[in-house]
Amino acid sequence: MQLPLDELQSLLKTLDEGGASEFEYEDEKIRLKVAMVRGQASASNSSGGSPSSTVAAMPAVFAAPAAVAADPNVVFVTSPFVGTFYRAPSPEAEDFVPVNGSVKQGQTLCIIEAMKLMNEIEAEFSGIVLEVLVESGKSVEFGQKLFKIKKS
Amino acid sequence: MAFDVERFRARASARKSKLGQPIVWQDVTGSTNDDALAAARAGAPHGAVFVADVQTAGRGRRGHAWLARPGEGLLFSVLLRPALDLAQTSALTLAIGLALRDAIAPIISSAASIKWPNDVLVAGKKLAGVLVESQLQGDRLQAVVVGVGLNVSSREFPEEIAARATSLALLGATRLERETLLGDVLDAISTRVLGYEAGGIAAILPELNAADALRDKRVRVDAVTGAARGLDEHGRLRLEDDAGEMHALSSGTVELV
Repeated sequence: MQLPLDELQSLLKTLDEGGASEFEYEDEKIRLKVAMVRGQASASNSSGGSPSSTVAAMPAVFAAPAAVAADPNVVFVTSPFVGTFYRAPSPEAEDFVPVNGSVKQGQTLCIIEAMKLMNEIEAEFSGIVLEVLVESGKSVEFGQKLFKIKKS
Repeated sequence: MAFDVERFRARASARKSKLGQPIVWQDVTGSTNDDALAAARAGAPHGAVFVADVQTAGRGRRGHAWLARPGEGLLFSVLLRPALDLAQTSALTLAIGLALRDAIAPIISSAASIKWPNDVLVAGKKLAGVLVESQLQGDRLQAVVVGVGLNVSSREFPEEIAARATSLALLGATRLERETLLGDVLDAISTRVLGYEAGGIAAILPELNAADALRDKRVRVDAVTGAARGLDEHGRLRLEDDAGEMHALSSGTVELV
């Protein structure tokens, strides 16, 4: 299990508050499936319990990475260095790529600015953008995930 | 007067570097950086130069407009394919600022300084600006495009920038011919890029700190205000806030306050 406990707890709390009953998550290392039984989980809410007690009250099923293989065609584009992430060429312009939009190899996905060097990050492969994981204008770290893309 | 490509070519044999082959001139274009980036995607070689008399969508960082009247500025972009690791790429912008200063130092009598990361200032007024863009795929640096706007023959500027801008003509430069200036600037860029490939940021840090126009000035960079304290070993701007805490900034808009 690669997901740290505190991240897991906050994830489960968010799901619980949002009323989700099933959730699936995956990255390169882990695939996670959570199923919640609503009637039982609500008891911990009414008692105003801490996130940890909420987690304890929710029956959760975790699938080990070996049990359910991650889709090898779903990949993450990560930041090559520390900088500022921009989804569009200028503040007024449209995003380079929309969520659920298709991208071609070599197409610009975003800009990472460092030292006034505007680095256009290009797609290494064609596919569909499943998720954009960073808000435009925010700082990003080396290796931080920026896009989730399903290769086509 | 339009930029004369033949005059530029005729002087190539006297130059130190090969940057500027091929050269593409347009009287009007959106942005020479966009032209160079598009050419880079299509496989254009190291050294290709795109020059224009007018840019209708000329821009600096994050779309800030670059204002120049037709023929008064030297506006060009050069495509480079340098041998650099991605981790080294960012601080290349600092070497470009030094290159511009190198190129103009012999023709003006005043000293030029550099406003981090790479604006060239004389007596606090902007003489030249640089916008560097790169194309990355995975961990491969495909191309770097260096866009330069150098105020050459302007004698007056639009009101909104008049107090903050200067030109070679206003500084009494001994050379105002854009074709020759382009050769000088390209040679200086070539030398600085080769030096940067070999020595990285460490080799130019003392020069950068000596040329720093912001040193000990009060500046605001986005949400942080404080005193500029030079560049750190990565080339980031050191900013000491009012609580005495030191910040190292790698991006943002720097304003003097």
